Amino acid sequence: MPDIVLGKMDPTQRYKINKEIVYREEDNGAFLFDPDSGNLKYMNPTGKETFLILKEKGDVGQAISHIHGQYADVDQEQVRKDVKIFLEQLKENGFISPQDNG
Amino acid sequence: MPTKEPTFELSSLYIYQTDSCNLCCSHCWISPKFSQEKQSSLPLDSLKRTVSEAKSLGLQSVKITGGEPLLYRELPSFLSFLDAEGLSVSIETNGTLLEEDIISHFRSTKVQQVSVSVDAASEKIHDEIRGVKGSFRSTLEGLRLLSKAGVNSQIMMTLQRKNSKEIPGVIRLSEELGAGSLKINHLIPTGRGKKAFARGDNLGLEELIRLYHLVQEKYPWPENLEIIFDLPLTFRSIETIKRGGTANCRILNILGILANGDFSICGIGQTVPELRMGNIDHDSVSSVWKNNPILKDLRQSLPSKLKGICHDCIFKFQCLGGCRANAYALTGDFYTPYFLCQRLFDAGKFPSSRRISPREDL
Repeated sequence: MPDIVLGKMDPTQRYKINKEIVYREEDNGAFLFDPDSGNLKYMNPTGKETFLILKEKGDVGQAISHIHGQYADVDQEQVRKDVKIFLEQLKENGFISPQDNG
Repeated sequence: MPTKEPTFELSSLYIYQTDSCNLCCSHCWISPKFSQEKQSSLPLDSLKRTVSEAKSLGLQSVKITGGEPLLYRELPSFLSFLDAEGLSVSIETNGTLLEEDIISHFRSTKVQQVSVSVDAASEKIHDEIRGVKGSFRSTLEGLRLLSKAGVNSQIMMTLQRKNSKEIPGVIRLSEELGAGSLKINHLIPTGRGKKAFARGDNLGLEELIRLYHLVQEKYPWPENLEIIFDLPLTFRSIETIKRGGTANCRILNILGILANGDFSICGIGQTVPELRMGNIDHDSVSSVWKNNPILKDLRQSLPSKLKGICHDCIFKFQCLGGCRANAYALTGDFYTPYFLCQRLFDAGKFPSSRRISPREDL
């Protein structure tokens, strides 16, 4: 289990990317687009990295550990807060949904 | 269970107060007739009644434009009325008729922004484009008066072959004249712009893109000047998309009122008569807004019925296909793709990262 205290966030929580979502990568970030709702989200390079970790293998804790590893000078608690906000935005826009851990 | 239809607020009225202008710009998208006479064809009482009624539909702002709006005899009185109604007001003018009295009235009636067209820092090029000798000097004098009075101004430049090297000069001029922002528009092929395209006055795609990147990413912006290079979202870098700015056609939330009182989707009704929809003298704005079949169709069909590359673009819900009036004026179809984006696609340069297809499983 990742060595990060997540407060109300479950570090083992996994997310699934909703089926119809279009992911488009560019050099300086990426876009998520929902063709049904029209929701569009711009992700900066860190957001893009976080999203890819969640998509490919990781849970929330892994994403936080990875990002903190990349930006060791940034306070761990701050990374946790930023990831939490980012995930909330993705959820609110219908790009991701929590996945059963079972 | 019946689904509730989405409601569309009429958030802004674009009022084309005159159908004439004291300049004769080679690129004007609505081709007003040339005149230096004051006009009052737009009946003030009906106009006031329409604006008051539109508040119940969500009206928050009014853009006053033309033709040249300073040729409208009732402008001061109309501004006082809009101020009393608590509406946000912006004005688009060529700046040649700006004088201390009217500027002082702008200030007292809390006009939010006065946009003034300046196409070059060179007097010769500006006057050539604007079609009237001496217009450069009058416009600059108007801008100086605005600045002196502390009225927020925006400079608008329409980019074409003739003035494509003028951007740095216009940026400097905008700073010197104390403008809050500079908006660089591309030429569009409607009104006199159609002839300008036929003459080859428009810039090629590559040149437009080169200038865009130069301005947005490389050119040192003056500290207090915002620069808006108005190109469709797909032309823009990811960083400037994030920064925001104007990108969408507001067609679903605006209504135009032409100089003869006719309603239209915007100013396009001036050159495309079938896009007129009633008149302020005998039609209620609520009835037009709620029942006009053109507006109803647009609400149901944008962006889902967009054609060509616009149908496959990830920005289609944001930009709604760019200027829909332009699409209609060019093809008679509201849903044809925006001409610049389609040209980009046809040239094989539309970024694949901005297309919806192909869809792959995530």
